[in-house]
Amino acid sequence: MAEASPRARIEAAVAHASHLVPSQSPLDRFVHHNPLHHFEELPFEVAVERAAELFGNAPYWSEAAYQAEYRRGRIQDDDLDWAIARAAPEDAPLGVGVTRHALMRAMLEHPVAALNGPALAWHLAETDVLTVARPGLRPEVFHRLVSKAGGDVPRALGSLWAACRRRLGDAPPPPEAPRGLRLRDRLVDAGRGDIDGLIHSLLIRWSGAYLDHGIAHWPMSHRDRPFLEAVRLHLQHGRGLGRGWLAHVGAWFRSAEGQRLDALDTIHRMLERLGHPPADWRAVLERTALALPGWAGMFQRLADRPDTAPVRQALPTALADFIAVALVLEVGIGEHLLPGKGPLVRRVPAPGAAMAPATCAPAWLFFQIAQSLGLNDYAVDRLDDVELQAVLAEARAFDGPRRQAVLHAAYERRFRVEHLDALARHAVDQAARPAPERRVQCVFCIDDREESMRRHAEELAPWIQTLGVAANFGLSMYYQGVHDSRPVALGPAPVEPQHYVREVFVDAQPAPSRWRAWAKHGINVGSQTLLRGAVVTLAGAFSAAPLTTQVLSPALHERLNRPSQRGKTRLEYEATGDARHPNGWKVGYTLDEQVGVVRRTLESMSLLRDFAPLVLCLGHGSDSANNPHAAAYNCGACGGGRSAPNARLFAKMANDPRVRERLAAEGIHIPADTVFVGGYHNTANDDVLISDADEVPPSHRAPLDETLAALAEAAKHDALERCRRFENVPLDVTPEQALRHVRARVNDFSQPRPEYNHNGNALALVGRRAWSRGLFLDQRAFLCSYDPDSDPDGHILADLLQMAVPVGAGINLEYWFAAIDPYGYGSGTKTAHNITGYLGVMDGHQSDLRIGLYHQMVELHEPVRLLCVVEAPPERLLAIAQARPMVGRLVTNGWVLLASLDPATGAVQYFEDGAFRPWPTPLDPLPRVPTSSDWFRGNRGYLPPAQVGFGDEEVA
Amino acid sequence: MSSDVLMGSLGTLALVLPALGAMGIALPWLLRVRLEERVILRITNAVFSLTFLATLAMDAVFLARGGAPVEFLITDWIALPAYTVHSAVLLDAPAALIMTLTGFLAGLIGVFSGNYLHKDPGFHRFFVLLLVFASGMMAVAAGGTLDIIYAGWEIVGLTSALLIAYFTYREAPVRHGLRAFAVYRVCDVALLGAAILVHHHSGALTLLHPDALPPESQLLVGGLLIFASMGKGALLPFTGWLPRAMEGPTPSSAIFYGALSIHAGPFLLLRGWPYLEGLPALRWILGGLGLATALHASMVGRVQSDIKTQLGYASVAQAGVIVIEIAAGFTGVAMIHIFSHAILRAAQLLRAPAVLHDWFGLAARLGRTPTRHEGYVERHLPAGLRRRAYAFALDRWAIDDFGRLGLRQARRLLQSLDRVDQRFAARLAGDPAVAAEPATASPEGGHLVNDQA
Repeated sequence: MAEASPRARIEAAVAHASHLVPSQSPLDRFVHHNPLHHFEELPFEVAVERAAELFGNAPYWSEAAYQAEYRRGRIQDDDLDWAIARAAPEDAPLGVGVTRHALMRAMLEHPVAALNGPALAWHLAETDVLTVARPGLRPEVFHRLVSKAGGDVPRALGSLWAACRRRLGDAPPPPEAPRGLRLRDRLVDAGRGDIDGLIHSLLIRWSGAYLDHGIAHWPMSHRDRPFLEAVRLHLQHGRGLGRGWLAHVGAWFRSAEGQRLDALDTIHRMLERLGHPPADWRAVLERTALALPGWAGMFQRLADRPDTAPVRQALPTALADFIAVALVLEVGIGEHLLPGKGPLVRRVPAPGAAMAPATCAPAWLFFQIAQSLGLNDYAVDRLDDVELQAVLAEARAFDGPRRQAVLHAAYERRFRVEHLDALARHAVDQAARPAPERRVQCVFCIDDREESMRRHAEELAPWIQTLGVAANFGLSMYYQGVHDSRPVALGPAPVEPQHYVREVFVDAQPAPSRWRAWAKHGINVGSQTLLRGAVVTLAGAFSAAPLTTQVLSPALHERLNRPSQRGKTRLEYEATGDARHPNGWKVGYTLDEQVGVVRRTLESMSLLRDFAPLVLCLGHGSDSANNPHAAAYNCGACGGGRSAPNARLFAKMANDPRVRERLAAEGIHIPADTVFVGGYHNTANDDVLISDADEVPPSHRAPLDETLAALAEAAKHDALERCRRFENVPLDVTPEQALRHVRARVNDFSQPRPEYNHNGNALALVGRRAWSRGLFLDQRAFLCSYDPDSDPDGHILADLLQMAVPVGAGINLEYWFAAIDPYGYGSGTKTAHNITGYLGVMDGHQSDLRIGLYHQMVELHEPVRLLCVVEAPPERLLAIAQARPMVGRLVTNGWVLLASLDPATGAVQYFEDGAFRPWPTPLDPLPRVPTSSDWFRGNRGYLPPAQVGFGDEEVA
Repeated sequence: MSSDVLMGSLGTLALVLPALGAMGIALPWLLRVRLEERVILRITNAVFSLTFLATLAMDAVFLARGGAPVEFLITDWIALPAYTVHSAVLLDAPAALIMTLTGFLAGLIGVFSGNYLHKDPGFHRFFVLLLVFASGMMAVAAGGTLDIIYAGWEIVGLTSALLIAYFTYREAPVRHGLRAFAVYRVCDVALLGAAILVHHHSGALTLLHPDALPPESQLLVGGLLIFASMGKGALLPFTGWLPRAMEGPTPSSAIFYGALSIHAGPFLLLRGWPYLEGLPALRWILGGLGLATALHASMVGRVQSDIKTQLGYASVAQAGVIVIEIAAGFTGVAMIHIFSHAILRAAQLLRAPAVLHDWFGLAARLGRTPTRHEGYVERHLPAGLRRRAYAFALDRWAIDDFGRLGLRQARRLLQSLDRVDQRFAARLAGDPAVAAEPATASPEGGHLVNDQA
């Protein structure tokens, strides 16, 4: 590597940086993914801390946040003890009756403030730390602390502080702050201010202009060239106009004009002018890109997946160009601020008094610990020097990040204990119950929001059997509906679809009248120009009426503006010859491909026999009137699209006699009287709609109507269950009122929370529904149907986990990180968002492109890693983890947690430290309620699992 | 009751009600009673409904009177033998228009924000500021003397700056709030100056009688009113603060920079029209300012690639056109323009977060991706010139840099004045050491940091 050419080194460094920048697509193709995707090779805890340092984000919640959870009982004492024992397996006495675990426990319960130097002096002089004992001490601890002083707290504390000072002396001088790397960092160290503000204000403007997909009236020219080239052409005339540094930038671009320098050459030149030695290049480029991660990431993403752009245009984006422009600006500003000769970083004056990194004076640290442990000055004096230093070393090693990690482990454990206990117990109880009759099968997405819908459907209509499958239904296609202006990818996000399917009208349709849309567009655009705008805005008072209806009655507004219903449609999906879409996709599916799709999908939900006469397949999606992140609310298995077309097409294929004939030859016999019907569940307003209803044979009309009526009733209860999370809905609404509320909510353009989306996600159950049916899981579980009986060699399970684990982990981890640090890993509050370029959002007037989930979306989420409970013996799971590295990596490194549920007995084993260990089945019965609403009525927060529908038996 | 008193009372009610509502929320808060969101919304909605009804009733009386203005003396604020400050309202067509608009839009924004800011930590603050702002705007509209207008003017400026800086935990909003506040202060001095001048010449005077002033003072008052209107109206060269004001939550951006606050500038000119009418020189200057602003804002706005900045510049462009209309004497057109523009722009800004949704909805209805790129006139420019013009527009005509230069010069001037002052004081005190020591100048380069975007 040492002899690599500078160009190759820079290329490698840019490639390295490209893995660190976020890989979020433009907003309308938002797909959940693990923000630390490129850290998955590392154990979870290690990755969390390393990434926090690299990105400047929080690794976990603050200690105070966990302590609040402890006080409200969300973390319990045995969780803390477990987490401490896990962090420090060996307990050891440290002197005067204090053990290592007791010390750690004391430090977890009572926050330790790291103070040193002037901050400590101020604290001692100006606050009551020397006169009032730390809050929350247990009575016996408090007693030990003050009894010798006769209950005189100030005296006890004064002598304790004196003893600590006596034994440990005054604070050593703080260590020197590390020197910054980039020119900007060094200028900050030298007290010259943060030049990133200037660099970024220009970089953001030009990036926004270059990446714009249609907001600006006047687009930037030369966007068919790389970013660096396009910016050079615009800025080479710059003479500064009051800003000397722009003149430097202009001068460089003028001199670069004849040299044919590409981005890598330019980066090289700039690194040399800055004076960074080659050993630092990688780090410098990495930090330059990560100074504005959102924009840098969008350059990279559009290069990786140009098909995710909202408009197809030839935009040769590359991260190298972005970094090159950033460096040119940095050099220009540097030349202006630091006139002279030689490399720029050497011209920076020596740093002044740098901010000391937060350290803790030993005496102060000990003073706090002694109080938490109830050690008075006498006890402190009794410790010999070795013991004293041992306690101090222990306490120092258990620093803030360690404590946060242990507290978080305890926080996650409580959830795990509660839910594994419940599953183990419920499995035993379920085994004793007879299977309910089955007249209709309803296939839902594995999405956690469908858990409540399925539960209510089963409660109200026990003859419905529900199944869970990824709602792309084995399809991965570019789909264009009759109302779509362009095809959208409906399939798992990592895969680029190969097929094209179109929806067409059955009868010739009169050309739709588009004048209204044109007029709206014309007024909107015109109002923002000068002359047209003067005319349009003079008549703007007419917009008072729509504005009023929008704000005061969203439902009425929606009714007035709904596009008129048009005729019957069909899907065009039969492949004819080798027809290709202009973009190169195969038009439609051949019969072979259709058989493959249906077989794989039936296998993946283990629906290979015992077909009910009616199989309802529901895709899902979510409507909202004002939500840039709407795609994040749709079907995760469809890459942020609505999965209704997938369900519809799958039903069509599964009904096709030719397909059934071929399937029968392969051993899957679908009875002739079984009918598949496609449909759609809107998770925001709980609508259930059916497609191709006119094709349902008369024999199946009545059961279908009965099923739809049951689902409509279930939808009301689902709405009621969801409404308890909305604080502005009273807790005592009826199911009908709840349904009306959620319907109005989705059309309300002032509503930042159309629904709470995946807020609950924390569990994934892969197995037969019988194990979880009747268990209240509070919209917290992905439910994936799988029957080990139909999978003797385990290949179905392997495929299933390969698909479901990364998708579930992607959603779960994106929520995890955004809930931990909503402003670092998340995109902050939605109320300040400003859409730019139809690509993403900025905060307010100008900022980095904000990546991740916004605060209103994750505010109720409990950050716990996904706990996957799979109905398969441990050996099979271990074999799959071996054979499928994508799954194995996540499981062995702890990004998802794994448990096995025995297919015969329902016994649970939990995977920890590389091995499965039995999880004892609790003897205590679970709480039992007749219906779900008996359990959740009157509650806003998360509820523990309960058995639903067991009420009668309890009485009997 | 005579229609004068009826109309005056209704106007006063509209002026006072929002302030009372704000107190209803703020007083318990000061006493550490945090009202529930539900209660705050009930107060706000009740207050704005009543306010809007009062303005509508006032409009009805006004029309029934055939449009004759009302000067209604509430009380004397300060009464000295030679000097009186009246608390009076002047209700004429422009006042009625702005008051109705304020009642209507503030009410809708209140309803909107109830959902939009639900659970936000600044919920209380937002509604207090919204109500206070509405009272301030009413005072500007209904003020019968420059003193009342000035009081309202300051309230509007302060609430505006505080709402820009709503997200106090981030740096940019606070910096941009301060910037807006600074621009306001500079321009407010002119309004204060005008008020003082008027008092100086007439003791107690209402707005409608400029002829009481000597001609040269009339010119000065007119000029000061124009200068005062430039800050809130975001006229050149003060335009830079407005796009940066899009930091607050969306509804506050909508009501301030789309709808009401931006039109306070042109409204002040309508109020001062009696002073400006007979002075063609001032009107030419005003027209030039309006034209320059309109050209600047529309050119800069055309290249913006984010929706809020684009709408901000669109607002400024129309404010420039309205100023041109006033300068040309079409005050009636200007009034309609203010009214219509405010409603349309507020609606657009409220829908700004839904622009993605609207765009795809439009695409679905049109059957293809809607584009704005086909019709831009700049494509006719030769490529080199087009690039320069584009860079110039994206750089916002480098206006901020001239402002920065101006600030630096002003600071130098103040520093040297300060030195002279200190030396003089030292000489008086007989302390040669202080007299010799120069005042410390701030280190060069420090300014860079504070003027980013």
